[in-house]
This record gives sequence, C-alpha cells and structure tokens, in this order.
Amino acid sequence: MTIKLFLTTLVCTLFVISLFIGPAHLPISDSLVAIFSDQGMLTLIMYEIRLPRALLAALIGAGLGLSGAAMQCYLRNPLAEPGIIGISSTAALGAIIALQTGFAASFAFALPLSALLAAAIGVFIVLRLSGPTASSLTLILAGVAVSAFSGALLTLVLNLSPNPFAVYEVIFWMMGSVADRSMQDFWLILPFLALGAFLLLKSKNALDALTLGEDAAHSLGINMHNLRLVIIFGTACIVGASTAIAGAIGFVGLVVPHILRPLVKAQPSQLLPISALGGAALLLSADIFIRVVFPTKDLKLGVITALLGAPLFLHLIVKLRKGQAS
Amino acid sequence: MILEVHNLSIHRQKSMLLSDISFSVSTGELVGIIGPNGVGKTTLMRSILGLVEHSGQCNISQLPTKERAKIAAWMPQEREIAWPISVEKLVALGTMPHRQYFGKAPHKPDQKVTQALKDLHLLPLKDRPATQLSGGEKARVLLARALAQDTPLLLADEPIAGLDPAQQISTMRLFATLAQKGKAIVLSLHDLSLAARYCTRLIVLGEGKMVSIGAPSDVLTEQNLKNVFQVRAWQKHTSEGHIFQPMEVI
Repeated sequence: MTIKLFLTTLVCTLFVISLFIGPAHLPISDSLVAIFSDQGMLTLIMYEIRLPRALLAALIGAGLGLSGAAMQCYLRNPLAEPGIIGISSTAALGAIIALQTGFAASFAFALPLSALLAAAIGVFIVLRLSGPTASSLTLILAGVAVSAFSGALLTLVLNLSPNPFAVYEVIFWMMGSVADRSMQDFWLILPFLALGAFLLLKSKNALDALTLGEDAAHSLGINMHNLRLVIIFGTACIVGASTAIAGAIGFVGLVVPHILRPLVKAQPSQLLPISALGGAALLLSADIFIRVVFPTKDLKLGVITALLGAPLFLHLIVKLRKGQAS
Repeated sequence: MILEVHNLSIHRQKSMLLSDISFSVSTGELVGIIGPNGVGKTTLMRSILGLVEHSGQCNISQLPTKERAKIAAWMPQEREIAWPISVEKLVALGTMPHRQYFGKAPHKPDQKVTQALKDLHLLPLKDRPATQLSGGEKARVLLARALAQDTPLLLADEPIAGLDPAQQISTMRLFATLAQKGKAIVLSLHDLSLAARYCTRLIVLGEGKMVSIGAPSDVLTEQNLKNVFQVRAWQKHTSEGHIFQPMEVI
C-alpha cells in the first residue's frame, strides 16, 4: 500500500508539474487561474496544449507499464515487453502507410484510426498463427514473425517513398511523442486504454497462478485459453491505441515492471497496478525532462525512454555475471 | 467414488499411447501408478485433469475447469516457479479456487495454508523467496500448495523425486495419513519399495495398457515385475508393511 500511495502521489505531482511547463513560460498562478476560469489564450494553452500532453503521457505511460507487466507475467519472462506480440509494429506500419499515402491528411483521425485498424489486423494474424492452444513460445514466435514482417514492409514503404520530407515525417513519428496532441486524441484512445486496463487487471489473480506454470494454473481453475485471449486482446488495445497516438515509445513496458518487481516481492497481482503507476510516472518525467532540458530541440519521447532502457540490459548482464560468479 | 475412469484411451499423433484404462478411486485410498519411463503415467494423470484430450469417460476431466479445481488438486512433475514470491504466498495460491471471482488474496494466511506449511515442515522457510530453495524444498513447497487447495482428490506426479530418504518417508507417511483422514490420493511413483509399503492399491502400466490393479502384494508379482520392469525383486510381508527391494535386471 505504501508503494502504491507513493507512486500515486508521484504521478499526481508530475502531472501538475507537467501542466505548468511549456515554451509559453506562464507563471504558475496564471496557469492555475486559466484552468478554472476563461482567460482567453491562457485557457486555450492549458486545455488544448498542456492538458492533453500531460493526460496522454500519464495514460500511455500507465498503459505501457501495465501491459509490460502483464506480458512479462504471462510469458514468465522478465525480458518480455508489450511489443513482443507484434502489435506495436503493425500499428506503426498502419500509421506509416497512412502518412505515406496521404490518407493521414484526409480527416482528423485518419492517422490513429489507420494504426488501430492495422493493430487489429496484427492481433488477428498473431492469433491465427499461434493457434487455439498456443504455448508461450508459439505466441512469442508468432509475435516475432508478425513484427519482422511489419518491419520489412515498413522499410519497403520508406524505401519506395518518392518524397524525402515524407520519410523525415515518418522517422520523427516513429520516435514517439505526446507533443502537439489534442483532447480529441485523448478521447479517441481513452476507451481502448480503459478496456485494455480492465481486461489486464481482471487477469491479475490468474497471472499469480501462472507463476507455477500452465498445468498448475489450469488445476487452480484458470482457463488458459481464455486467459491467453484476454491478455493478447488487452495488450493489443493498449499498445495499438498508444502507438496510434504517440508513435513507438519503447522500453517503458520492459523497464518499469523490472524495476518495481522487487518492491512487491515479485507477486504478479501486485506488480500490475504499480507498474501502471510507474509507467505513468516514467513517461511524465521523461516528457518534463525533454521540455526543461531541451526546450528548443523537439527531442522525442521515445529517444529518452530508449536511453533509459538500454542501461537496464547492462544492469542485467552485471547481475547475471555476479550470479554466475557466486 | 471420487474418481472414475472408464475405457480411457489417449492417442498421440497417429499412435495409441494408452488404451482402455478403467479404474476408480474412492475416498481414503492412496493409489500409486507405476510403470517404466515413458509408459504414460504423467499423460494418464494429465488426461484425468482435462489437460490431455482422450476418448472414454472420466468424471473429473469432464467437469468445468473452475469446478474441477475445487475437487482435484494437481502437483506436476515440473517444479516451475517463475518469480521469487515468498513460500507462504506461493502456498496460498492453493486457496485460489475457493476465492470469489474478483477475490483478493487474504491479508492473513488461511488456516489451510498454515496447516500445509506445518505438515511439510516449511514454517521456518515461509518468508524465503521460493526460487532460492533447493530442489527438494521446492518439491515440498509445491506439495504444500496442492494440499492448501483442500480438495477431496489429490494427484501428484513423482512427488518424492529428488527428496532425501527421510523426506521421502515422511512425505509418503503424510500421504497415508491424509488418505486415512478421507482424502483420495493418486501418485505416480518410480520407487517400487515405497509404493509397496504405503499405497493401498497400485496400478501397473505397461506397453500402453493397464497390466494390473490391486493391493501391492497382488500386483507386484514375479511375472508382472519381469514383464513390465524387467527386474527381479526380493519381497517380504512384515509388521512394517510390504517390504520390496528390486534386486537385478532380468
């Protein structure tokens, strides 16, 4: 409970800080007044620029942290991450095809809807490939296959692009960001993220049972077929919607559960909610960091999370070698 | 009868792994399934639990998963523990089938959890991460988890493999005591001497079928030992029970 309380306080604090940071350099008192009363341009900045940015960072961070924890617990692998089932790659491919074909500019939600549609196709292919009674390994292989194929198609689209500026646009989009998003974007992905979070949190006790392996979990009353569908569908909702709005933000789903696991003595049912809070805190912090340290550089969120994620592997190698030595 | 198996057959790809297995187990029985490696002991138990497709009838495998979990507990041979959760939390997973749908794990350990920890002498280890235990300790923890499930039927696959002699004897004694208290227990075993001494009945599997079923002294005949295990054994009825010692390969 203490960890949950601490992380909740941290997320709330970071959310408020995020609201008060931006290139407009508004005094905190003016920003506060602008939230609660109509102050013209100031209120517009708060509601159309800063609030969606903070809300999306918190929501997408929470979703990625939660789905990462669920995927690690389901696959019983601390190196699993939400993208392992190939959904982020297919969502990215959908978005990039929309950008390259110009469909993204045809109406407001064309880009995120293309990504969501592609994510749904990705889920369908992964489920078809892995079969009705897939083991964890088959699921990972199906995810890797879909991911690799989407990656190949993505490079093909870039390769064939006649316009170098469009390629730049795609590359920047792929780096991941929550800047310049609107409240409409937030409302668009909220139902997907809420449904995904509901499904994953509903499975937390089943994930506890899965600690003992699939046979033992089955003997404890867990329907493994249903659990697999719920985890894949829940993760796909979160990852597909997040990628659709913010691009590919890696490592959050890998790093957050990994760091928080020892704090809950590795119990999956406790790891899931705190990973959601941890993910929100991480993405809010990263987004604040970008705006405070590099206010003029338009540094992308995915770059910062990748820079944070890479040292984790070094830490794992050191830990593994220490374990082997002892 | 808590477990009834009638004409159960299991196919693997195009070949028949087990055919026409029929037996029943009532409460208070400790039944051992014996047979050489690869004969299908584990597969038979997994089919009873609905984990392997089979033809024929079994009253347990046809139950819905949630209902089955309240009647039959299962201790698989693989001692998989994915995360370093504490021994007490791991044993408490056994109470899951009896919780409400969205039920949280209780803050205070259930009495069944404490009893299972006590029965398997695990109270001193209850706060240790389960992944840091030795193979034998893990086997005891996983058995305690199955006991905490508090089901009338317990199936355990090689529950004493990897235990030291003292732990093997005390675990078999525990099974015998639990059976005397009314639980039905089905074990797969490789140790014929412990099977002979503690099981009330033995099922002998050989070459894809049930060769024999009955009291250890009726089943462990010279002919069965020769045909199924290719061994000759020394055996004697004593006040301690049926003493059995495989002597040489035929």
